[in-house]
Amino acid sequence: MIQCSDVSIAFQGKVALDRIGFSIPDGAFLCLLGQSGCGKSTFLRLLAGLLKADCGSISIDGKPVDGPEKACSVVFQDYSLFPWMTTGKNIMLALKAACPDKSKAELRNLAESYLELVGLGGAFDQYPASLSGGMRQRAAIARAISVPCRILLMDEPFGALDPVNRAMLQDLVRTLHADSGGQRTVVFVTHDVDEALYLGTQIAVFGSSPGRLLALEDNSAARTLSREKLFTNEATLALQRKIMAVYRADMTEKLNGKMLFQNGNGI
Amino acid sequence: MKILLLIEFIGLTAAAAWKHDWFAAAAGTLLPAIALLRCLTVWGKARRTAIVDVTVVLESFLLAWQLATSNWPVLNRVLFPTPDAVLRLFFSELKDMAHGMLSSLYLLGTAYLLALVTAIPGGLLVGNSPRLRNAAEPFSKVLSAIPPIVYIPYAIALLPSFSAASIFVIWSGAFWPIFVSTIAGVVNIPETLLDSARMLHLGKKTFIFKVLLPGAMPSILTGASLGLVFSFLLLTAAELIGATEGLGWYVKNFSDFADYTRVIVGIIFIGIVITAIAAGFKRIEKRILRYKETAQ
Repeated sequence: MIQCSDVSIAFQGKVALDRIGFSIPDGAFLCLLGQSGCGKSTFLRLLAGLLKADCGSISIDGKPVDGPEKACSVVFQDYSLFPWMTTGKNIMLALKAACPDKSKAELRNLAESYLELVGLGGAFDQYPASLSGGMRQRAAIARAISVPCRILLMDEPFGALDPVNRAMLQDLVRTLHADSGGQRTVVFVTHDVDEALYLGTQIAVFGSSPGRLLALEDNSAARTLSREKLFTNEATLALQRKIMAVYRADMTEKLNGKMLFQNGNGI
Repeated sequence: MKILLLIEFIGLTAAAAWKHDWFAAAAGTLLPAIALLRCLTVWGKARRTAIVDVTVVLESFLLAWQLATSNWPVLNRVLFPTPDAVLRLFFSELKDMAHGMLSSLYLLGTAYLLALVTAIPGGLLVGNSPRLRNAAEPFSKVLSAIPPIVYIPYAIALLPSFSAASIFVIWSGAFWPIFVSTIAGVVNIPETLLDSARMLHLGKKTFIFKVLLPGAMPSILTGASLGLVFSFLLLTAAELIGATEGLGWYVKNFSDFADYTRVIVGIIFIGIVITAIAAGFKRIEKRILRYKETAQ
């Protein structure tokens, strides 16, 4: 269980996150949904322990997060893998740090099996630069799940991919989470409403300037539906409309409020 | 261009043969021959054109040199020996120069290796700590701008031997570019990559050798090649301190005796040595950075 209470952080006087408070149950797939600049990536970094909140607290299973969190592994949009190592070596490096007692052959076998799990069986000896963006993210996911971490944090992992690869990787992540049988919690940052509806069992909608939690929606029913069924399902469509409405309300509130227009900036 | 090369080739060979300058004639023939062989083995039209262009320039230079010194000696005979004399001497001096090269390479190699093993760890350490980086910046800015030649009197006075003084001077020339570029390399490692490393909870040693060093490597190599150029420049200066052999000494010594044929021979030899070392460096660099190659 991840618990956040009154988490706030400011960068150079500008409030990036304003009193975020909610909890994520074990085994959940939480999608952090919001426009760019709403602080959803910052929030992910706070969960990972890569940033420290100015006030408020984050705890995982009752233990406060302080410094890079051992329970979490992260997949970023890019530069997750070290480009100077082959994909196999990347995974072996992570495994070696997590399980120092294992022999080199064991590490190699494990790394190979994780690459196979994400559909990259033959890519052990390939450098990230020689792989496509989709394959690189597959390898990054393989590395993140290879270490025994209960929480997987993903920061817009498919933001730079073409639609076909994105759909395939969404399926992969969804399957991996379903197969973990509630053992793994995923926190997934995205700005794509449909992606959040397809993947998340819970959806947290963030508003911008300052970043704050607008709504926390349950979407666990969607998990039983295939992609085609999901977007014809009345309940999902209703949720989609609701999230859009929350987005729009956040935007118009800002426009009617103290925001100024200057050469079209401000929207 | 190819026709121009053919005309030059015939002209040069004929002019040299006329004066019985057989070495010059051989050079004028070998140059296009080597170019032709290279063209046959190299892939790509642009590279073949480049080879022909370079050969044309070299051949023109040789032809002009031959005509102005041997066939119609309009240039000062002491300052401008004939190509034939230079080439003849080049081969007979090869043994002496190779000996000098070893002495030079000892100084250069020692100083350069010292620069690598001091600048890279130092740069990694300083680059990885914002506090050290801020503290070191003014020093590296000022010190790296001072030509190391000015240290020569102190090096001679304080260090026990000529080679120690030379090594110090060469080291101080190679150190700064490597040091500064190592710091820059560390600073320019993408933040997400460092975050990734933090989340893997790597040990300190693993972090340095598997993340920090390879992450800074492209920049380190740029600095290292610059450092190599600087150390060549300083080698000559260093050999003025008190050397009795070496490539820089060879040129300096014979220019003192107004033996300009040997001076030119020495310059050509230095050029060949430097080119060979630089080419070797390039190969190593390419090998280290091969991970950057994208899929074809």
